[in-house]
Amino acid sequence: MMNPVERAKQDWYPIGIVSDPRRPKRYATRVLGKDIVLETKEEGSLSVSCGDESWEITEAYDHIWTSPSQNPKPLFSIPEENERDRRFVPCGVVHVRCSPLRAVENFLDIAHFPFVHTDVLGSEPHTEVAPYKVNIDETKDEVIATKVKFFQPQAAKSANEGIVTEYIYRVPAPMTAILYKTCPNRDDVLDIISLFVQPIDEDNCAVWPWMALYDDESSMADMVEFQQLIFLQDRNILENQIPKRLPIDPKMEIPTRADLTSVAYRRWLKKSGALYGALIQPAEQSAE
Amino acid sequence: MACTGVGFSKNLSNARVMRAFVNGKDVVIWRSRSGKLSAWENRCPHRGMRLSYGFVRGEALACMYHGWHYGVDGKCKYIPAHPNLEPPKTIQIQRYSSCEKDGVIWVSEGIEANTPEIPAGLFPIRSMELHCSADVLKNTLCGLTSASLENDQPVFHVTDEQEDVMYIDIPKRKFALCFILQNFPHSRCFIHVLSERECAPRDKKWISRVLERLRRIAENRTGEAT
Repeated sequence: MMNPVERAKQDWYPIGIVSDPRRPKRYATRVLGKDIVLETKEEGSLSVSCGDESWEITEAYDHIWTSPSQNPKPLFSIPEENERDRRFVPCGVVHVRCSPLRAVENFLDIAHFPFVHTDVLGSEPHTEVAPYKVNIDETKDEVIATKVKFFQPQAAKSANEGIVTEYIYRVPAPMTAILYKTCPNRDDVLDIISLFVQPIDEDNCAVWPWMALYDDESSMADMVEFQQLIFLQDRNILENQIPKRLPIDPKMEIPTRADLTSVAYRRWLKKSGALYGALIQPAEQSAE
Repeated sequence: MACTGVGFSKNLSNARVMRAFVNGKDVVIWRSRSGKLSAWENRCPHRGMRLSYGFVRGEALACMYHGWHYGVDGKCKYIPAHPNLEPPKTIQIQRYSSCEKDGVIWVSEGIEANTPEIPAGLFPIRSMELHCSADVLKNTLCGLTSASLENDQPVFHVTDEQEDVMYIDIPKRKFALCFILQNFPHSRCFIHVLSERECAPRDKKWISRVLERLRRIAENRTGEAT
């Protein structure tokens, strides 16, 4: 099995929003524990350097992505980016003191909605998680969860009343999760919310949410604010989970049927050796 | 195993939750609606969330993340995602022993209850958090015995000193105090102050003023050391 750092180097990571007018000409940040600089040249071209090395760079889904590998895996695809009547909304960045994998797993979880996003994404007594399906798409090498249903008091900025929302989740890369959910305004399309996670190091990450919605009414600022509110509520959880890294040993944390997506995600990470940000040893051994 | 004084009973009312550290271990302390006190490992076994962020529902503590309920025996009673499921009996949180004596909450590792080693009949005054370690606070207190805290006059003497309890005589005001020290990680600690007799309001005010000065001196020492 490849070591976790070498495996992590094969992927692309978000480090900025393409159209961000406030990014300095030389923007310093960190990826996989390395200091890097994103440089914006006079004519607008971008480059990423890590000391003497130059890293690969690409633009997709309104974000700037980089990879330390000379030959990275192809960036995942979101075909709906070509549907031009969607609103594409980069939501900025939230720094979280937790493993990048914990941030992704929280995004795949619906059972916390009534308790963490109370009266927005969930509410008591509507706490039950009905059975849903989880598969690994072998050809795409993705985790897919379908038929996930949950009652939501305010599923999106555009929702006026509580609705039963249906979700589909995709995990196309260890630090990327995409969800497709019922659009409150239309029943023929699905809204998309993605979580692009920048691994600062194994215990810290920066989360870049991105949305592709059918919403003609809400202002950009309102949509961003809605997503930021949700994610700040999640941050309170993520920074108080012990251990900070995602435990891969199934004995360390007890799942139930509602955690099927998280169980599949952990297994998929383990199988593919994508263990950067994972806890491989039981906590007792590493903490003492 | 020694117990740790984690706070005053009066500061943890029914249906409330607090966090403490006992021998460096993260602990949640909570009181049920009917008033039963529990001290547990501060971690939900489901997804590792600190239970000190949780909330009390009747005789159970619920985790803030997914609302799992744990009864006073530490066993999981209810999983909201599966309302009709009886939770497996194996889902259980590690318990600490806890007791209350003369208005102080004491916690120790293990299930057997220990009795604290301080004299009976003391009166709780107040708790205070300091941004320095318990060791720095203790050294500061010992060093100040003959130094000044008020009007350049020695105001107190450390008469006895145990691992985390100190007795201090204040001759000028004719009373003695007991300081229970509780260490927290990251250079923080708590001091819980008790008096040998019931204090008049002006005595309490004086104690608060002296504690504030003590805090400033101890926290500045931490700054010098780093």
